[in-house]
Amino acid sequence: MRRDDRVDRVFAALSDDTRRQVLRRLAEGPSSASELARQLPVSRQAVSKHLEVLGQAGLVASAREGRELLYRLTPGPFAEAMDWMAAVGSKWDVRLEALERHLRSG
Amino acid sequence: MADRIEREIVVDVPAQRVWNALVDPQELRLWFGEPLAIELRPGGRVRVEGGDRRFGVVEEVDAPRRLVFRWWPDRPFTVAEGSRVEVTVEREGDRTRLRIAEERLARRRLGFDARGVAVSAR
Repeated sequence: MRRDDRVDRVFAALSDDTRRQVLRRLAEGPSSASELARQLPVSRQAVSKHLEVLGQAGLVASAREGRELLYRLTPGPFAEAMDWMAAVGSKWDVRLEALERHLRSG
Repeated sequence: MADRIEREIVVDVPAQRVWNALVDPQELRLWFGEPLAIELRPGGRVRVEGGDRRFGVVEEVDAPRRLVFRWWPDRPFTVAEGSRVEVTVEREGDRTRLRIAEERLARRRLGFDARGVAVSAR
């Protein structure tokens, strides 16, 4: 998927208040569509449609747990970028510390 | 909107000394942590052995001030994520400021031409 498409879908997904509420609930832990519908002022069908949009945007994923289909948040592009920056940043921190020690030792 | 990190240190040694530490294989062995070899010319090879094997290509050399290269994890013929590394060595009186920036490249499919030089193909 081109990155622009992905960003557009994410913004579209986040532009709906109910979907933001779904994301907030899922941030507390995985949940089924039924459980989400119980907690929100919308029908089970509406929740399923919202979960579909969130899934298309790559923000949620589902997995079967026994008889239930549970939805959870996916790490997403921003967390992945932050992971990269932390990993690469700390590699350089280690190298530069070693370089400093090396240069100071004459 | 590429992911990019920047780090810098200031050291009380001349710029040439810092530059040598960055490019001389004997010195690199003493601090880089892994065997690293850089052919100091545009198009020159970059090679890292050891636990985090990489290969790459030099883009710019302006000794003893600037070195830019791209490198990738050593997994040819797969989609491998590479980055561009910019190394800048600046004199500040008796001190030297070393700046490193590493920026992620877009994913590309890599192969090798007949001379064993990494080329990108889509």
